[in-house]
Amino acid sequence: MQLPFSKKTRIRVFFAVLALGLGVGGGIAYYLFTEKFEDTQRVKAAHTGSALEFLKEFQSNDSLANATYRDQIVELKGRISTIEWADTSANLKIDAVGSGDYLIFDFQQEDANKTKNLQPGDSVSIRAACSGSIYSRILNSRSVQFKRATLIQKF
Amino acid sequence: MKHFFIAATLILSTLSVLAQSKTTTSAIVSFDATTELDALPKAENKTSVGMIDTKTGQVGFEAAVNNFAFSNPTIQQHFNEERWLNSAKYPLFTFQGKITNLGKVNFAKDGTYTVSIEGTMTIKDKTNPLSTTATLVVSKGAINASSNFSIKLSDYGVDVGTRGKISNEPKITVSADFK
Repeated sequence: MQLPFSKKTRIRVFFAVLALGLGVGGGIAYYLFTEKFEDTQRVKAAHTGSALEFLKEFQSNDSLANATYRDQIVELKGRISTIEWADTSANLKIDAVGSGDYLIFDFQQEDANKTKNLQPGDSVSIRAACSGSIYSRILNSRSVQFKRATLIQKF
Repeated sequence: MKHFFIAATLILSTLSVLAQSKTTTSAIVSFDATTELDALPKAENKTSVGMIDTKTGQVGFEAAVNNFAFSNPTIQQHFNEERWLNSAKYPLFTFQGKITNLGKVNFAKDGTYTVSIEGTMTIKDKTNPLSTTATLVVSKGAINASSNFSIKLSDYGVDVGTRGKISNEPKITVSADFK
């Protein structure tokens, strides 16, 4: 059977498809290897509200709250109970008085300077990625943990 | 009056016992499973719970698996998914152990002490023995504890595959300030 294209044309098409495949594959690989999380300041929060009300949702139904908020960006308002330094960055804690339960926010690198001027007692609005809750046998308390936090406002 | 003294003694005794156990909620646990083929699988968790009891030598830490912050979203997603650490079902890495040469440490005197620790690490509900050394730096009543060790992920039911992009023996670094 006679093919519609000459051998030379078929070779050209083969190499063109190969080059296109390598280009697309390389592009995808490059994207995956260099992909980074976006600055949380620029990400819209899926939920906004009071930090202590947010904690109450985990205290009353941990499974439901984890299913709802895990890996979501949330924006919460509350009063700082404690500031703890972890290496060169600050972690902010908001405690539920009496229960020992708390929320803790690990800030993104871009916010290192913003957190330096905060004090316990300050009221703040924080946007962060919710990692869900854990129960600590060491502390006998529950915590809701956040990463890539950013300070939105100090009141 | 007699009851008052009994109550006061009990309260003071309790406070004394509590003072021996120091905790933090901002211990740093780093996980580094990078290889020559892939520099991405590494992360830090800066909100780990840590504990040291200066009287008994008991030590421990708990790190929320889903709070390890990776720079790359895809690697973070893989780390937490079912075939790897399955953080939705097994949310914690835990270590419980004891300083075996506690007599070498004087917590009342500033200095740097190297201690041996024996204990157990639990990941994905699988518990294995772990022995390591740690450095304790005592300064003005505060203690900084740090330790480096490796674990075998296959011992914890984690299959990293055969492509060599993820180390089966990641380096774990723990650092905690107890005040």
